[in-house]
Amino acid sequence: MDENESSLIIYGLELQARALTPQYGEGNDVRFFIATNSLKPTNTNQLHLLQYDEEQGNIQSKIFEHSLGEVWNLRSCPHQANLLASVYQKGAQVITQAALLTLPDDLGSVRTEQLKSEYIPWKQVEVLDTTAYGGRVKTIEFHPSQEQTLACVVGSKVALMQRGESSTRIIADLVGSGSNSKHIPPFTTGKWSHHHQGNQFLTLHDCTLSSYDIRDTQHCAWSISDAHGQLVRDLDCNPNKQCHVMTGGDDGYLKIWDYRMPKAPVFERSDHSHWIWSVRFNTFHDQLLLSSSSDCKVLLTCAGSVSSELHSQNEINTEGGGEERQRPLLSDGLLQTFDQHEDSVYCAEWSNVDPWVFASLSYDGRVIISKVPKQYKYQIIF
Amino acid sequence: MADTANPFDMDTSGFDAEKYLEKLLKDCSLREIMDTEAAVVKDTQTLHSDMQTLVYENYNKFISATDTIRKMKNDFKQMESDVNLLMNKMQSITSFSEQITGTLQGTRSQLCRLSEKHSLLKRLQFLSTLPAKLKSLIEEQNYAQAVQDYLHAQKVFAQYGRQPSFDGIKRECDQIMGDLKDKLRRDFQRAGNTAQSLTEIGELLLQLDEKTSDLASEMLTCAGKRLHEQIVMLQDQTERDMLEFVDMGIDGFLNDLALVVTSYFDMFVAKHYEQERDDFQENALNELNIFLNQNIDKYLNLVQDRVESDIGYGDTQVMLRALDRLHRRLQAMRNICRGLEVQKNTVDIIIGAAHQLCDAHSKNLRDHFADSLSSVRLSLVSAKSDAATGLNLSELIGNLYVSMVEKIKGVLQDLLIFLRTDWSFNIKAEHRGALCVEGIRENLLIGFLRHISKVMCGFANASSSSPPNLLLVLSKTCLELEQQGVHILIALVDDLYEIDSENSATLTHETEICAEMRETAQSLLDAYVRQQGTNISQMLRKSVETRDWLNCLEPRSVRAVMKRVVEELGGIETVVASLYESSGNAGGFRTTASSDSSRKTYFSNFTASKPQYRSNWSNYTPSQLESSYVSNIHRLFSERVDIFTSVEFTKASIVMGIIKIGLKTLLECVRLRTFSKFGLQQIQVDAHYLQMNLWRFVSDENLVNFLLDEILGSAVHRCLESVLMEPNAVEIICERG
Repeated sequence: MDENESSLIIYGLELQARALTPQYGEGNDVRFFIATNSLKPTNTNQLHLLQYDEEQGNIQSKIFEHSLGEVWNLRSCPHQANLLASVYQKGAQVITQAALLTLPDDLGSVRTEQLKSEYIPWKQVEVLDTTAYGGRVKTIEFHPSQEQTLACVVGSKVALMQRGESSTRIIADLVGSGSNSKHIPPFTTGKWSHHHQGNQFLTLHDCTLSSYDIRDTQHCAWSISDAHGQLVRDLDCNPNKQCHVMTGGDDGYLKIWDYRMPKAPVFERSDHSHWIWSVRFNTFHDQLLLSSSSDCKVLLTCAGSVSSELHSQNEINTEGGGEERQRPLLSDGLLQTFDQHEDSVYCAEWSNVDPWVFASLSYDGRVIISKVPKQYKYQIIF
Repeated sequence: MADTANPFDMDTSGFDAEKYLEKLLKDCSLREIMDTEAAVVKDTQTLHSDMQTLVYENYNKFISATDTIRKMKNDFKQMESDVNLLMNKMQSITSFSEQITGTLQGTRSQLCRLSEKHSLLKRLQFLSTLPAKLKSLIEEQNYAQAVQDYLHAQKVFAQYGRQPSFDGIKRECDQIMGDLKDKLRRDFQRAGNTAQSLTEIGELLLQLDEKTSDLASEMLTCAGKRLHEQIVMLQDQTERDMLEFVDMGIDGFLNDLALVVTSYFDMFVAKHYEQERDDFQENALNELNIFLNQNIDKYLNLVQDRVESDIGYGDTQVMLRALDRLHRRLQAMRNICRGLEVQKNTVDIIIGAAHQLCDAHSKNLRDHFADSLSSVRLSLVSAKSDAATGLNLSELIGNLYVSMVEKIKGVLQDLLIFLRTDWSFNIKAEHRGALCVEGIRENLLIGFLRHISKVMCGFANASSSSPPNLLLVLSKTCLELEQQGVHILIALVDDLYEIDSENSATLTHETEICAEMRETAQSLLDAYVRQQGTNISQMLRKSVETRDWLNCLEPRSVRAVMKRVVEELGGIETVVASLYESSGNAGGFRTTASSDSSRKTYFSNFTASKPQYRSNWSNYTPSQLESSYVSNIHRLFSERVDIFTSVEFTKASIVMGIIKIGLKTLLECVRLRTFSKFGLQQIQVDAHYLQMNLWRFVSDENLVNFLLDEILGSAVHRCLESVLMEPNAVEIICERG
């Protein structure tokens, strides 16, 4: 336990925060972006780039000013390390918009002392034009393979944007032409599917999980209605296994679906006692699930029975015959509870670099970088 | 002797007259001496006369003896002459007798020869009439006599077979007997024979020199056919009850079998046949063994089938009585057939029946349980009236619990019939049987309890949308089982079946089941809290999400949804209170069952004693409120409250669990919105209203206050213009309702 405690690194923000994302374009260092969420005009909203140094066991941060407003959501571009998208709400105008932010190229050489202000300036800030679709941008999702393509979930629509061109295209709209939009809940969030050559975009609205084919408008590839008893908050695709999608919802359930079998989830846990705000597969070992909830806890769950590793192992077993040694697999279920947060945890993300490191951010501005406990790590590796 | 003889005693031989006189003279006075002299004289005279009498008497006797001797002398002389006469006469008798014997010698040998001839003639006559006699006997079907006669004649033929005159007769007889043999063999093979006649015919054929080994195997096949017929006949007796069925089997099948087996044994195994090989007897015994086991197997299989189809439907006692009878009969049969082994056992059937009955009962129990669950569910769904629900619930639990326990008890009693001491079999004596008895405990009772727990656990899953009250009922039922039922039932089964579970390594311990039950009760209760919390959450979430907080008017009243929430909680509380008395917080902060009067006083106390609630935020100026430090500082000084803990089995804890979920939801919803000044004030009013009303339900109001603080704090954060209302105004609005 001591060992686990010591592997915790805490970083504090002064303001409330709800946005966290790893720097997907970065390949060497464990880096996360976080951004604050404060409405008050007296507070300046900030965006921090945290770099976790495992050797020294500390966090170095670079601080940027987010003068556009309070940040609700951050996404980093997987193709371009210094590009990220933020969804923000601007002061008194209660509408959310999105902007693409570009970091300076040579961050390493920028020294805070040399700057006049305490903040590092942006190289470029580009506000996306979403006004045509309403004032409630939920998220901007970078396409996993096509650099120029963005999906923007706004209100009850999903718009496909091409950077550099001004062309946008609606690929999904919950509100059919003419029907009243009032009673239809908007999209909660969305995400690209890692499979299908990047042609599918998964969305959540109310209790439903549905997938749209972007090659056509309003083409719903499949959907799972009533995936949860209440609102579905977040989803994640298993990057290593087709057809598996994880969802977390207000009923406190974490479920993994095989969307070819929409009747019932293939995996289900209810270890959280309040809403689940984020769910993530570990990209390297997808039996490790990370979920954060407003019960102030981050949970590490094992879903070995539905992971891709189980599958590949079986194949090895059948090919390798008797020489394959019987490895004690981690049993399904809750592995570890991280309860160092004192407020609701809205984000928890795996590092894209180190498979055993993850960061979680609670509303009170506390970032905790933690590691998968060693015993589980060894069990998975060996 | 002589030495000790007193010389002074006159009657002894050592008497010395001199000494005596001397002593007399020395010792005695004159007078005494005179007296002594007189006495001596007198004694002497007496003795003298006595002697005279004796001599006289003996003299007479001598005289008579002399006379007798003289008379005897005369008699002997006469006797001598008589004896001489007798001797002469005997001599003449002897000579006569010799004369007669000599004359009769010739006649006697002639007579002897004549009588021999007579018997020979008689035999010849018997032989000559034998064919006719045999025919008539066969016609009369008196086969036994015919065979007897034939065998008799056989001996004669053996003696005089060479003579041609006898040869004809012999041939005729042989032919007749050949026919008879054929006839008998046909009879033997005919299927319709009873075992009795089969045996008789067998015996006859054996006497007629049939080949023993052929006959032996033929006998078994014929008997087998016959027995098979009986089996088929028994198979059709489906309408009869078990007892009749078994009786029929015993009377018909088993008796026949026993007869066949004993006669076969006597005919082939017990006797020794010269003409057969040495190991014939052994082989015969072997074959008999196989035959016996085959047939018993066949029959017992039939019985087993019957038992299997009957068990669980008919009266178990009747069946057991029948099986008992069968067991006795087989036991007896085993005694008869010594040297034979009957492998299959009735006890196995009985144990099988016990197993099957267990399974049937177990299924029954499960069905019953499912039925009662669905009836509970139905009554919960149909009886919606809130006022009556309270009573209803505990009644339902009572019914569910009692019916379940009684049913199990009934089943246990029912199965006890297998162990009745007056049965001739003892199940527990056999290993398999003992296992079976333990199976009653393990599979039936423990299995059922586990089943209950599992089924109930299934209701706790969110996917099964069960009404919340059902969860509450089930949870309570589980708790009752844990606290009482399990113990009672396990103690009962251990007691009835004399199982020593305490010291057994294989048997499930009571505490395991209790723990399981408790776990189930807990998860059901958690599910209940979760579900009710979700319902409250849903109301609150919708109310926050759908309202336009930026453009609302100054609050004039508490929002309706808050009143709804409080009402809802009140309803939940009454339901929960009907099941869980407020015993859990006896040592707690304050009894929740405070009456109306105490509530009033409490309220005034509350506003005075808890000023920090209002002051938390209302003391800050708007500019201070802008700072986010306030919340963090505030948090520093308030101790961390663990909001989500497992629910205990008390009313306060249950309701608190629900409230916590609801308030947390409200907090999250508030954080997602942006508020105008009046929006914030509305939240302030709502929070105060909740605070005024929620204390009733909980034991630790600090937690409620903490959450309400958080809600208001978050609302302040999310407010564009953070100006709070005057506390007094808030109070007035809230009290107005």
